Amino acid sequence: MLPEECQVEGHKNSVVPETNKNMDLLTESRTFLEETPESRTEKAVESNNHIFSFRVSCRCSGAIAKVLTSQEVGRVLGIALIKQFGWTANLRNPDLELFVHLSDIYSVVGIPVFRLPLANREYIQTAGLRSTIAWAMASLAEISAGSFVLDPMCGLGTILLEAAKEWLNVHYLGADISESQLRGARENIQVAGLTDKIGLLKASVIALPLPSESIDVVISDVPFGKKFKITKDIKHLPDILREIERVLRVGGTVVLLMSQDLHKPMGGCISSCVDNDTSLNATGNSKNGAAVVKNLNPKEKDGSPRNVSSSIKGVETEPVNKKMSCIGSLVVVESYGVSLGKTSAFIYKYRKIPAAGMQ
Amino acid sequence: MKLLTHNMLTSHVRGVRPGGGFPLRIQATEVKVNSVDFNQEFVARMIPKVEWGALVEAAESLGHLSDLPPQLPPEYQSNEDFLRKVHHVLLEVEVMEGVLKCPDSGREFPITKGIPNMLLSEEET
Repeated sequence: MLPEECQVEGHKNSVVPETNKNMDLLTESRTFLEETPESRTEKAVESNNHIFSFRVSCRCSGAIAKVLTSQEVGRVLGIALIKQFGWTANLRNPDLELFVHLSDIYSVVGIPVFRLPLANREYIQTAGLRSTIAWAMASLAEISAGSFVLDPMCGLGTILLEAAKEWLNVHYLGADISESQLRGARENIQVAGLTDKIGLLKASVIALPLPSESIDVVISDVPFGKKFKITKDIKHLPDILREIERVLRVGGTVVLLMSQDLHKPMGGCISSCVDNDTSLNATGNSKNGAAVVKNLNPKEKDGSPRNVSSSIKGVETEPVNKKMSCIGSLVVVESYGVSLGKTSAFIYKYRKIPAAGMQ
Repeated sequence: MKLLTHNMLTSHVRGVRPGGGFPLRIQATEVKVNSVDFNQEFVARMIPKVEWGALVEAAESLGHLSDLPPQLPPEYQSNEDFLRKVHHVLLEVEVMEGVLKCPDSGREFPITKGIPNMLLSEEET
């Protein structure tokens, strides 16, 4: 267990104890480092005086990160370890690395076993989205053999690469509006040896050149923050969802990664739907973005879909929250909060249910 | 662009008749044939999803019909010879340069370095 005062968080990675005493020890161990590994081993064997060295790597995310920085957490932990065990701090080549990740949902204390991060992929040349997140999204998407899977904002193709490596006998399609992103995606796909699995096209997510109900699974990282202003994203989100809904077959799955800021208006929309429909049971506190929102039970038979024909014209002039209702036949199945390092985001999973008139 | 991808694409220009944007006519200036490992299960699973007539038409227009019959033969799942031909047409034939033409509006979509550009201008959507 962590002492109470350590339950605090900041943004940066990697924290180091920085007391004066510590600095001395640090200098000492650096000199030590310059020796060859062999002599180092000998020394360790020869003498019982070898001082065990360590480093604390901290990552803090969520609301707790606003209270204290990871540096502060690391300093507290570092000092505690030095006092308790007489270990010495060594940033560059410690005997032991302690990894601490504090988030609003859990606290992880661990010892990294591998030198490389889990997200490392030899088949991904240029990473866009972190590959572990991409894999997690694909694993939620219920991809089955013989499916058509689309990423309508594929960027460098990370999600498609992760999915195509793992779920075979599937045709993957990636679309993007950016020439340079598509060029990067094509290169990634070639390096990964997946050219026969993944097709690319230049197209906009709000005007896809695909027939209605032709796609089994849509997976995408909805861009936020970097390329577009958040406000602009929110404005586009209903159009994006409407077009995804159109190309998806009934029963098909959508898995989207969205930022907290994008998620908020969506969360509002979902809550308002829940108010109108007693068969839905919202358990999540989506407002603070902290907990995992789960079990909206959308598959209840009498959960009449809040369907608005997606062919309605003139929605452009309607206020944003009205447009939100156009997600109509896309119902949230589950959602998960994820940490992307500095930012938090949500993975949302939807399923397309039959339109009201067709039941 | 492989013919499997082409088989999914439809023109979405504003004003196109419902269903009128499919299939896009291919006018190729460069076609490449790649060797792709034959995966019988994949091909057999893709066939029910493919618009057969559109595939045959596209293959023929590129001169790669490969003896595909105009109608999907019965019990093709176990017909390896047939599945190999479909495999070739779906995955090995690739249009590198050319245009896709909307059969209804005549709008042309360029294919550059194997990637079709299906972006529409604002007036077209």
